[in-house]
Amino acid sequence: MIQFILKNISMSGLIWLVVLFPLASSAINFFLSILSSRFGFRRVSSWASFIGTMGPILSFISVAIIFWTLTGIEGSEPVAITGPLYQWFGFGNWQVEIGLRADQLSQVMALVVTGVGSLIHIYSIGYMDGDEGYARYFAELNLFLFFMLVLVLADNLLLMFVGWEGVGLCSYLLIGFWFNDIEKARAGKKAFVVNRIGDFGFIIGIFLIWNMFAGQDVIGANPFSFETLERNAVFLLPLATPICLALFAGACGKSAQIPLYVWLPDAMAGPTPVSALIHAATMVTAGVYMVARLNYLFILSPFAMNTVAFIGAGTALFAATIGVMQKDIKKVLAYSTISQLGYMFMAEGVGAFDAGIYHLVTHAFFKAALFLGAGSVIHALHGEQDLFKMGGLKKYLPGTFAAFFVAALAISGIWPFAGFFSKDKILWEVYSRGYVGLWAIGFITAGLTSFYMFRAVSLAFLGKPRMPEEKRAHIHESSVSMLVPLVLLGLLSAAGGLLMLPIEHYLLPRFAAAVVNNFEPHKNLENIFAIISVFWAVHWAIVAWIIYVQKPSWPVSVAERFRRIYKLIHNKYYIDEIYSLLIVRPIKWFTEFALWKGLDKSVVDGVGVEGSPLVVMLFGNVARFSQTGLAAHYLFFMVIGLCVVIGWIVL
Amino acid sequence: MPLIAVLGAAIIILLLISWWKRASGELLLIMAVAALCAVVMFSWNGLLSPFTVIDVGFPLMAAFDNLSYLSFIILAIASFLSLVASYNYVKERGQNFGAYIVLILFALFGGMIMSCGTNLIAIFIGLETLSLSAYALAGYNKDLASGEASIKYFVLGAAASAILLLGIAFYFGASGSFEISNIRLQVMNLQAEVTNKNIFLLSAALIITGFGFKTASVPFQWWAPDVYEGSPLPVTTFFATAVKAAAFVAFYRIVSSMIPVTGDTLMQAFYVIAVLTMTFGNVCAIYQDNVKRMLAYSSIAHAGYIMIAFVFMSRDMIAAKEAMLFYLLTYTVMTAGAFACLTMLKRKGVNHELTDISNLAALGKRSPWFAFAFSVFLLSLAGFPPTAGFFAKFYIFKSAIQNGFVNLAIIAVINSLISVYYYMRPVVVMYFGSDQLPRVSESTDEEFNYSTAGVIILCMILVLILGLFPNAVLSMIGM
Amino acid sequence: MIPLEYFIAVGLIIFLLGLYTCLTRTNAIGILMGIELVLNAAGLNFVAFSHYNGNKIEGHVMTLFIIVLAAAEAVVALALLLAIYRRFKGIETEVVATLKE
Repeated sequence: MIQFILKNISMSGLIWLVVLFPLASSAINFFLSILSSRFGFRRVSSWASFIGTMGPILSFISVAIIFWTLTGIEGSEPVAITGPLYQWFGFGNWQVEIGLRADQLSQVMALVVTGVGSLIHIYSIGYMDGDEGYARYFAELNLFLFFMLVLVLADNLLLMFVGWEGVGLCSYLLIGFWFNDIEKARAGKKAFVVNRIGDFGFIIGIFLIWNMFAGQDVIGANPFSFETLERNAVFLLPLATPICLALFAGACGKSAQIPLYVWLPDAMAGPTPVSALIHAATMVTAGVYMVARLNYLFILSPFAMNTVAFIGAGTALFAATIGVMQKDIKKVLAYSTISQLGYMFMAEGVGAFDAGIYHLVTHAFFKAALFLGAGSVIHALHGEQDLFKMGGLKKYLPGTFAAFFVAALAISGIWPFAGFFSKDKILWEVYSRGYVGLWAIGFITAGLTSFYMFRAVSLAFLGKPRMPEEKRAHIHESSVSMLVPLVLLGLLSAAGGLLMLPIEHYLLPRFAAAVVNNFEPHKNLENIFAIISVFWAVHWAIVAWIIYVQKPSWPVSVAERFRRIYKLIHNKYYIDEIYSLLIVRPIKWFTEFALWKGLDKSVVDGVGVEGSPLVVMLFGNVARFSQTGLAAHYLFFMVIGLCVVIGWIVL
Repeated sequence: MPLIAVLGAAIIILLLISWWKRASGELLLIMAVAALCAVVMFSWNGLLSPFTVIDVGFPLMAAFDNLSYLSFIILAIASFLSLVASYNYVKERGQNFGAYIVLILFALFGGMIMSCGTNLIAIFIGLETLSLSAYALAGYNKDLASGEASIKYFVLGAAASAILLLGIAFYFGASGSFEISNIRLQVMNLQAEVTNKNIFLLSAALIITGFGFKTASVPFQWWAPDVYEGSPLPVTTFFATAVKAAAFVAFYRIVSSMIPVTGDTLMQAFYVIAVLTMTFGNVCAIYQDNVKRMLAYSSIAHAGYIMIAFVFMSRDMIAAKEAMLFYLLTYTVMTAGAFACLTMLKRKGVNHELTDISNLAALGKRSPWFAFAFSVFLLSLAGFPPTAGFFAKFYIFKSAIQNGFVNLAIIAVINSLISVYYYMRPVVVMYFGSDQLPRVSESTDEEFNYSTAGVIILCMILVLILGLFPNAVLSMIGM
Repeated sequence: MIPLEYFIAVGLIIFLLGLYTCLTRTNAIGILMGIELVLNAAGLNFVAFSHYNGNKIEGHVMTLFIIVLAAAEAVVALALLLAIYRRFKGIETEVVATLKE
């Protein structure tokens, strides 16, 4: 079979197919959704699910074939490029072309994206069953996968940006998938706005690169292709720090790092498989991927590298402390995602790009498993997400429990599960490169991770059931289509550790520029560290178990004693409030009054009335003058404008 | 030739409707469209042949270079889109379609003269032909708003033309000629005489005012929101696309000849105008509940982006021309598409336009194609890759940075980020329901109407083509 | 012989008077008259510049254009004002101000 395909399709054709399958299935599903609005959704839903899952699966198979073929060729780097499909646009003697590139890094990413993506699509069949927008859901999910693959496989920065914006758009559509719900539509908007702040950084980075290359003797026609960038990184040296910081701002937006993380917890309003795919396994790791992809740029600027490392570490700790206090099961996972992404950035910041990507892979497995498990719980409880209204679900959902438990072990870094290998690798790299402070933060965070994960496990699955009687009777294990992906992901998160050496080995040539020191491998010290961190994690897991299962009354008394701290953490450090005070409110004031919607209206709407009277008067007057509707006034302003222009130009 | 085609068609249609009262709308439309096709064809041919300067007779000095031909094409496309989209609109309101076509064609003729004239008299005559038709077009509907739009447009427009005329007078006084190209010869002469230079700068200021008005840039934009809101939808399309494009092209011609004389003074003035224009447009658009008015403010904001090309014009004339033309083309296509979408919204028995945002509620569910198309246009206006709007912005910002205006580009990028907020609002409403709206939702049921739907589909294809294959168009502009 | 500056000065005075009329009148016809004054100021300037720049024909021709233009504008304006009067029962700018923020 594989032989047959290889004989008839060239390698570049195969790479194109990877991208085209999801696009095609998305297009078909879009038509189906139009049909469903005419003929009712039940008629088309089986087709929609079949086509919607076939796209990702075929795409996964293509990636796998590419991977095997390329690794099978002895003695050459496993890199394949499609070459330009056509010239996108050109300025002067520079051409930006559309082309894809499958090297070690993008192959690993594409395998994860399509693999986990396929599983989550299969899961969605059961989860979204009976939803009115079934076909539309698959259309959007497939479209997301298409853009994600474009992002991953793009051979130049601009095409990557197309994917980058595309995934943002799809994420926005999918967060707000269940429309008619204000809260959800708003959450989508928040994600969108915050991401645009990050994109601003990305664009500025692109412009700066362009500017640095201008007038230089750049080798290669396409200034944005990764090959050219890698070869000509030297030219960027003078502005390396601003470029990297701007690009990293983009990564922060997409990967929810401080200070742009606020959107991710709110993004949990979408369907759970969406959270699993987009807001845990794939899209949010795009920032990590971008930094790894541009590693040769980042290592030019030690300052930028340190920023990445410290922001990563800070986010890891910060999000973990918030995660400890969340009541909503999905919110716990959201903060945990932010925290784990922080780990990845920390690893990249110290130069251990391979460790960061490896953690990305294992994280995709166990976080997808956790989310799908949570989805299964929520599905079984008919939409209940509050951890304190669950409990004892082990009895009702054994399969889900097993997968969730294994994934929790994995994320906590307990041997021999996947998370242990990746997390330990990161911690060790951080320590051995001399960042002891960061290592300590990472270590503490590991404990917290273990604590909040097992808090969630204990509250949801162990102890006594706390849901209402009548609900208990309806609890049932999820359907096969949901359980199979869940179990598979559970297995992957259990066995992911086996992938460590192959992946690291495979990726290393990509990060050749970043491997700087050949420090002595202190095998003993490393082992000791590993043992200590396993004990540390287990200890916190047991603490969580004791607190939330054995003595359910403890949390209350603990909260009583440390009321201030509890409140602070419980309110997410008031970050949302500070944001709204410093950024959202002023903008609102400005626009409300600059437009002069009338003081009455703003009083009625209750927006920004408490703004300082001076600001109100200032903007109010300026704006009331502006669009009065009186032609005479407009004429007057025009004359004033004329005077200003004359004054400016002549004098 | 393109000019003759348009003028001929306009006069023939005018005669036809005055002699043969029962001439059907379709026939007239087909004739007008044929004329527009002829314009595009001749311009295309013209692009491929060597450029000429034709002296048509004293006042009408015209240059037929790629700038004029490309602007002919843009103008013809803009007129085509607004004409075809208006067919049903005008017919439903029981108005005279023939006169409407004639007015549009005369306006187009004026616009074309503006964009190819190399002589200030020609440009001014073109501008007045365009404006007088535009005043009448603004008042074409029989409701209050339309009348108000026309009178406001007229009063302010006439004042702006008068100021422009005074500017031309001083220009004439300073340079001794109406020729635009002639002015370069006078540079040395001017530098010798200080008074002359001051008169020249005065004329520059007055001319900037006149064209600032037509292009709706701050501080001469006051009329735009009201007039755009009040005018009939297809006419608004025409104002936002064709009128603006013609004004920008003529402005470019004049400014390009002034720059060697005035140097950085003009550059700084344009810098401030560009920043103010885009900021004003974007900030005001945020809380608009009327999509039409929102698009009017957005049109001001886009004028600000185009003004960036005028800022770096003193450094790189060619790049400014290319960036401006590409931006005008994409802006024309996406704005025409967005307005055509609004034209589609209607309800049985209701004759006024349904442009309030609440009318879009849940359209994503009821008519997915429509919602999809409208979203594409809005995304393109917001500058999302890989739509046309992204490249237009990218190209302009990139040229600005290359010419050393990094701060300006950063301001522009921030502005386009703000703009995303209000462009996404209609999308949110279409796809995510209407609960958050302040007003009671009036739902609409859109009857299918082929001419407008055709325009929408055409615009959508163009937006995607310009986004995915911008190189073809860019290389054409750079020919 | 009268110097050029005098003409320009008279032109500017007429221009300012025109602007003043535009700004102070609320009646649309009053504004229109102000605009006519501004146009005439430009016309005067054209003739003056033309005369002092070697008596070129262009300036004179332009003045004739302006006269025609003023007539055309007046025609359009009166037609519009008639229509406005029917709809609003008035042509004052305060009355015609329904479109605003």
